[in-house]
Amino acid sequence: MLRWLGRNALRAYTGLALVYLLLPIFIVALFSFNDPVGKTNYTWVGFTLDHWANLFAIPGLLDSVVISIRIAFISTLVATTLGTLAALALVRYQFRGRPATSLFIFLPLATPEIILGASLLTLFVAIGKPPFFPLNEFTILIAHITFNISYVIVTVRARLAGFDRRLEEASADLGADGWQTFWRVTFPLILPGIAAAGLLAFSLSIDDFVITNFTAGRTTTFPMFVWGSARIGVPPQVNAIGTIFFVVAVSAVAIGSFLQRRRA
Amino acid sequence: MIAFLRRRPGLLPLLLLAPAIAWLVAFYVYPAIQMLQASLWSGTLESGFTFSWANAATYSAALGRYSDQFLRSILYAAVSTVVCLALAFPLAYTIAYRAGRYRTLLLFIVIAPFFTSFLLRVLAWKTVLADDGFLLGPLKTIGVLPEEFRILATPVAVIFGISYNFFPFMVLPIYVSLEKIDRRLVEAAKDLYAGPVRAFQRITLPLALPGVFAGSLLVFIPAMGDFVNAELLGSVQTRLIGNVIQSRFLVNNDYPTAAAISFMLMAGILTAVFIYARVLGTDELETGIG
Amino acid sequence: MSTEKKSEMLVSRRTVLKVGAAAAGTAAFLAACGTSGSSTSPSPKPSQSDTISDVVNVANWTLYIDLSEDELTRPTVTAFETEYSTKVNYVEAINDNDSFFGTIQAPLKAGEDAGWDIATLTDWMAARILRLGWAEKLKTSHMSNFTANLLDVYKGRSFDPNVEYLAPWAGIVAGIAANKTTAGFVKGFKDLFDPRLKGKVSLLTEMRDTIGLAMLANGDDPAKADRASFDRAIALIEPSVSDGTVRAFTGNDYKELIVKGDVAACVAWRGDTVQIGYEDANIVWVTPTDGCTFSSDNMLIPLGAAHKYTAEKWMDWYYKPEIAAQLTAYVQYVSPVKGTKEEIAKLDAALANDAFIFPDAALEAKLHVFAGLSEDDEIYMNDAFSALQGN
Repeated sequence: MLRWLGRNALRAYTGLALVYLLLPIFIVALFSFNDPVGKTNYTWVGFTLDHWANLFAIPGLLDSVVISIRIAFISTLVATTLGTLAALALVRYQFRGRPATSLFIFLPLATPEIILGASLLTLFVAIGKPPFFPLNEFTILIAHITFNISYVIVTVRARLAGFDRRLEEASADLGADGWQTFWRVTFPLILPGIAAAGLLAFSLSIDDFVITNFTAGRTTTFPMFVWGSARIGVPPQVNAIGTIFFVVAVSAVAIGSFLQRRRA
Repeated sequence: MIAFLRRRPGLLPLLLLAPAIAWLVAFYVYPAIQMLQASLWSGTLESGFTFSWANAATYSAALGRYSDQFLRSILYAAVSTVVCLALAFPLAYTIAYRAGRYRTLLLFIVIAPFFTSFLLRVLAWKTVLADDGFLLGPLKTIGVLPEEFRILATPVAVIFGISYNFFPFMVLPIYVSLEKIDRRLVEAAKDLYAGPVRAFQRITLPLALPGVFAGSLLVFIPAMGDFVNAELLGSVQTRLIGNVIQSRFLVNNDYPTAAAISFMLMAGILTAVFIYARVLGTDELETGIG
Repeated sequence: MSTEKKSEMLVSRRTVLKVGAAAAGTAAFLAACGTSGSSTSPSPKPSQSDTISDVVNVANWTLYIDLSEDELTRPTVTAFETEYSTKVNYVEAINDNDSFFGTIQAPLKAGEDAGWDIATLTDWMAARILRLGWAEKLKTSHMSNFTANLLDVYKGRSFDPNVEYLAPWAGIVAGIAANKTTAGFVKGFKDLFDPRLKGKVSLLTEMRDTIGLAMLANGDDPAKADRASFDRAIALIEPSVSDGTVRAFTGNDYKELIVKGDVAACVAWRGDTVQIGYEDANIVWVTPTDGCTFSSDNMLIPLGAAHKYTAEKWMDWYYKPEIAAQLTAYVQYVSPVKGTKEEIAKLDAALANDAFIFPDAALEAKLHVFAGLSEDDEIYMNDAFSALQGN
């Protein structure tokens, strides 16, 4: 009897937990179809597809989305490259100062975003000259790459740890030199790890608000647009774009894991 | 070039590391130094700032003036961590042992919130928890709740927001820990006549502790620095140290105090991380993130 | 514990020592660095050419520009763009004077372009900018409408006596916005602290408006504000903040709170309140019995702006009575432009008689400006006001 209760309690609990996790996403999506009076989008009025049809009618919204995507793309590229190289070094080679470096890399992850943002702001102000100043897209980019590097290193490292070196040794035994071994054996096998790190970096960058707020100056990224419009009422178009981001991200992960399973 | 490297094998790792480390030194360490310097400034924006070691008094002044917010941040972060733990553990347990073929799907739903904009999520909760919104409104109409009852602009809302935000960070490490436990240990315990509760208490729980610690740290640290949840869901009585930093920097332009507070916050967090790393190592933390 | 972990721990101790040594070195470095932050005086940029640029960057507050029926375009802005074949990057970047100042002070201090061609700041903040020498002098030969149509009351102000730097955008009246169903009894500032409104009140982060209203409620004159009357105002407000009657301090965001019903009454700006009333007829303006505060938001061109000529044309555009009327009809703030009243009568006769847009003598008696402050007093008051907000 107790076991039955126990089993169902867990299931009920899990159900509630899932609702808890998904409720905000559902609300965001739902209110993109709302037809509010005026600008305040908090109570359900009526269903409409108008806002989806006029997705970028709000001035400034399209620009902010484009800027966000652009920054996310570039910062992911740079951070993933720098991070993967560093992760390779940390996992594969023994060298003096390796634990210290490990700890050092971990520090940005332990730093609250607000401090990362504020310290970068202080730096850019102190430099005081272009391109670091006035604050612009470039400074946002620097900020995003900075926090992304640590995430990439940590992610790639975790995946690299399980890598079987014998495959490389076998390749070497078969006459391939270091370069060839890397490109034809190592790299393809660690690619999923790098891709995962890249995806993480991309989503962190596109959604970042706190650090961007400190380093943006006049530039408006999508999260900053949301913050700004929250003062007078978030337009349903913003909800729609949020929903689109969600669907795209989910699809990307779903496709990724499907491909991985097929390969295995 | 490859021949050069072959003669100096020790150089390769350093070369691989160099770009990332150089970047972090330039844009993490150096700014931190700038901020340290700023914390020892005196003066105002208009009349200019001057550096002096004597300004170390800024630290004690800031600590005294903002002790409420510091303590509140620690309290809220701690409570959020406990709440997260209480909520996450059963879920992680279910996913690890009871999910069967739904495991991947459940894990996916756990991280799904990260695919939506963080701000939109908080704003969505603001809609759900509104004083007369579709959750509280009907309850008030039928008389279950008093009219003045509210969740928003209270500590509960802020803690709720922080807990929701970092919930996946707690679930994942615990799940990883639980999953690693060899089931045969539990079965052995049962063979020795331990009931399911005792088996859990004596075997599962202790082995899940590394995940619990990792998750707790992954929640506590960012919770300490929160300001968005306090700003959107809180009130004047729930101002956290993150709000103070934001305000001092961006509104009052009081850079010395803002920098001093930031440093003290960082010092506290780094101490916690150092102790944690010494005792448990950083492996589980990284598993939780990766 | 595995030997690996043990050695990691030992090495960690060494790491700590290394870090400590580095820190000591940093300290020496810092001391050697000397002063920072105070910088060279800004060198004015060479004057920008007298041609229209292809873009102009305008920073303004929210709810301060006219919107079309579907709320997707800004008619007066679009008309400007067509007239001058340029593009306006209109950003509602200003929620609060101090935070906006924070974003532009660093480049301006360093003598660099702050990124904005036009910033619309409240008079006391504009005065500070002028005091710091961070605004471009206007070439009024470009601005015939402005010269002809500026209301006389804005000429000869102590911080810009010859009208060389600032072009007023709107006059602002601060008072109370209330939901007539839940807070209909609110008639004055002190009513906001009524126990019936517990947790449903918000005040403005704009110190001079909130404290100004409190001073009036205390019987003090904001035009003669000093530390004593300021302290009395704080004493009036403080108990209601600690006991939770006041829910929040807001910039423009009171709009969202009051429409949602999280707030029943708040200190608000008149133009906003009228606009909100269109969305929710229950939200009404209440002129506090003790009086309102009055200030003006002013356009200025930050020093070193890249598109000065176009910016001057932008200022001048809003001094054409027809344009001013269009703007005022929507935003419902006091227009600084002569001839607006006549033009607005053509759009909406009722608005022409609205005392809050065209103050008559009776209303003017109820409007009070806040005194200009010395830097020390300003810091004292800002600090105390921040502390009140928990910051």
